[in-house]
Amino acid sequence: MRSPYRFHVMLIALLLIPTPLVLARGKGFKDVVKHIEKNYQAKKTRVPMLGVANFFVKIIRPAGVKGFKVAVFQDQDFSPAKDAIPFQTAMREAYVESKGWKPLVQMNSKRDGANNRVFIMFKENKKDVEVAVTTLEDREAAVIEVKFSPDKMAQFLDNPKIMGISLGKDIGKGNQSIFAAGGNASGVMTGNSNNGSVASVSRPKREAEPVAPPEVTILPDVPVATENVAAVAARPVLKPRVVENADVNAVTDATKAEVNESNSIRIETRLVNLNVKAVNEQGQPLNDLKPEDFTVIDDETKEEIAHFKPVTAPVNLVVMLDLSGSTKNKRKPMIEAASRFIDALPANDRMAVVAFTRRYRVLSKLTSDKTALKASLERVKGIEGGTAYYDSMWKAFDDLGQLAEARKAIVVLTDGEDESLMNSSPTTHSFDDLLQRASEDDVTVYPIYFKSVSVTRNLSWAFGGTMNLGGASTATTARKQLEALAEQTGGEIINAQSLEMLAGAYDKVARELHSLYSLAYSPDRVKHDGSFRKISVGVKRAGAKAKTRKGYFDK
Amino acid sequence: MKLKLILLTLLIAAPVFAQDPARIQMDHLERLFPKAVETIDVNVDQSLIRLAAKFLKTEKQDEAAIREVLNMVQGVYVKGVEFEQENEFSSDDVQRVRAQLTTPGWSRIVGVRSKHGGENVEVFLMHDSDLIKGIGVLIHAAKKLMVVNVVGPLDPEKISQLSGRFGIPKLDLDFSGMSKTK
Repeated sequence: MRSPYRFHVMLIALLLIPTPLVLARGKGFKDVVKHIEKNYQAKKTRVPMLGVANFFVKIIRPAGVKGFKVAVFQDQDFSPAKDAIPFQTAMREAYVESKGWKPLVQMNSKRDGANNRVFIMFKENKKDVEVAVTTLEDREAAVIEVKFSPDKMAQFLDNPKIMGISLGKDIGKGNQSIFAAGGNASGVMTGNSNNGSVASVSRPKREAEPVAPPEVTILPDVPVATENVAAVAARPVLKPRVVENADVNAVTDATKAEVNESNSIRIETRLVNLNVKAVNEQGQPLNDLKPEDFTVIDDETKEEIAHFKPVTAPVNLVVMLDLSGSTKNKRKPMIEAASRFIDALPANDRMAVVAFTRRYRVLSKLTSDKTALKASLERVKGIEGGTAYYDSMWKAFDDLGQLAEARKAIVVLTDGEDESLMNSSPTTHSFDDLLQRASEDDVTVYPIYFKSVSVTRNLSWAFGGTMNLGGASTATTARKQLEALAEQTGGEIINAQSLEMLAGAYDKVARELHSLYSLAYSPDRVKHDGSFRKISVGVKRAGAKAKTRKGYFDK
Repeated sequence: MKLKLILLTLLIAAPVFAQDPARIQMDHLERLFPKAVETIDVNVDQSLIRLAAKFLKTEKQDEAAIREVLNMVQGVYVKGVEFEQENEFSSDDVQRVRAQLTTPGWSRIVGVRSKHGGENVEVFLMHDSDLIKGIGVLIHAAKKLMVVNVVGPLDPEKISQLSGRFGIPKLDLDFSGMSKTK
């Protein structure tokens, strides 16, 4: 017998069937977290005190923030290859337009084997605003949702107070809003071309909060010069010397002399030092070359090699660890990498370990003692802060410049993101300064590139931070700058997006350092006009090639 | 009855289909996203711009000036892709954007072709007497394609007041050719 209600039952059933599917969508944060857990079989990383913080935020509502949700996933596989559906689709299903969510920014970068994805959604809800940020990297993911009152936040920025306690500073003034005064109101990264490929941000010289002065140098407490007197006398000299009452006839073609009023003679000798790597046709290092096997061309003039050191000479290496906030998630692999560099250190080489944030901290002075070097890595705990990358590199160049020995190198483990790139913080030395310095010093730089998309930076952008679109532009500029620095000094950039990519990097750099010859020559026709002089080094063997820095500025 | 229903539906749906002539359609570029090594997709609409403007103080002259400009902006939209290899996008992808920018109302004000990087930059303006209704920037090279669209109206005089401030280069803009009727 057919029920008279059969049609109605079917209709109700049909209406109810899709309901769970509809409800499964549009729950925003919850849906995205669930999607990440299910799609990547990932587990959330516990964030201590998060619940307490959220409770207080809901009561105190600092800066107009009414609540937030955070989920962090670390050390798990989030590669897009595992996506059952495109993540963009998952985001749009979680943050549905019918509930007022709008996609604000979506970025994806697959450069250099990495997979970085950023999604920012935005929703207006009466007087409040909700922003949702999801970032996915190869091994990390984060989901953040924040609800705040823009009016209250504007009031807070004008007069920062929490529970009636003034924070004593007009945050609004310092806030580099995408549209605010002092910020990059045009929404376009300001920059100028450097050497045809590197975008650099012009900045004022340091005026505001200065970087704390360096604490110590990498130089050992015992005298560093171990060469004999003859060797020291033959050491390349880069700076002018003043020789009292010298015989003018002794001045060679490679020197420039002038008699000053005090009857002393100023002899200005320029010696250009080069670290040169030579390889055969197959790219294998050539380690048995002699001075006569090399040709040096300086600005189209063939030069005579005045000083030569074989590949077996010891190397002085500074390992620099960027311990700023932007590399916080990479701290563990970074320490592991530094440790492996210590293991790969040949017996005669010396290494110093430096940590930098806005401060330059020497954790270990130059030494061959591997136990002491490894122990120094323990001292990174608790170090955290901003990034004075350019100034720290400058200080490392200063330190190495005091060493008599040639064959000096820096291995810097960093994302290269100097603070000035993100918020126009003034620096003592700009990147242009640093690049020029690198062209003048005989220090080879090997950047080990650690990149970590900062969720907080993405969020700060959404709230009116810098217009660098989630740090992508900053990261690109930083990466190009690292490449330029490596190229300028004859070094090489090494990717460290994952531990797998780092495998072999230690031995590679150690091998590279011991395939470097040290050459020095006095250029014939110095002009001191600040022009850039190109250097070209050749090897007199069939198919062989030499790699060194590109040139130097003739000052 | 049925006709009335259809007309009513069309009437309700009309605002959805009504497109601001200064808004450039660039959704077709999304199909290029999966192959690209870098993608960017920005949709800043009026509500977010108004929100940003709230953080600027009217009593400060500099901020008031930019607030005034922002209050007129209807939206900022960007879509960009960069590939590892050449020929990953077709000339049709570029042409579909350029075709919109060559319709009446738009005029090309800048065209730069770089032999160095092979990059082509074209800037288009849509203006209605004394107001800029939209700005379109089309950048394309062998491995790169980007479209930037700012939807106005924008007052050129107010924009020129921002030049040399807030990090914007001093441009010495001359809008005499489209000056306001006094």
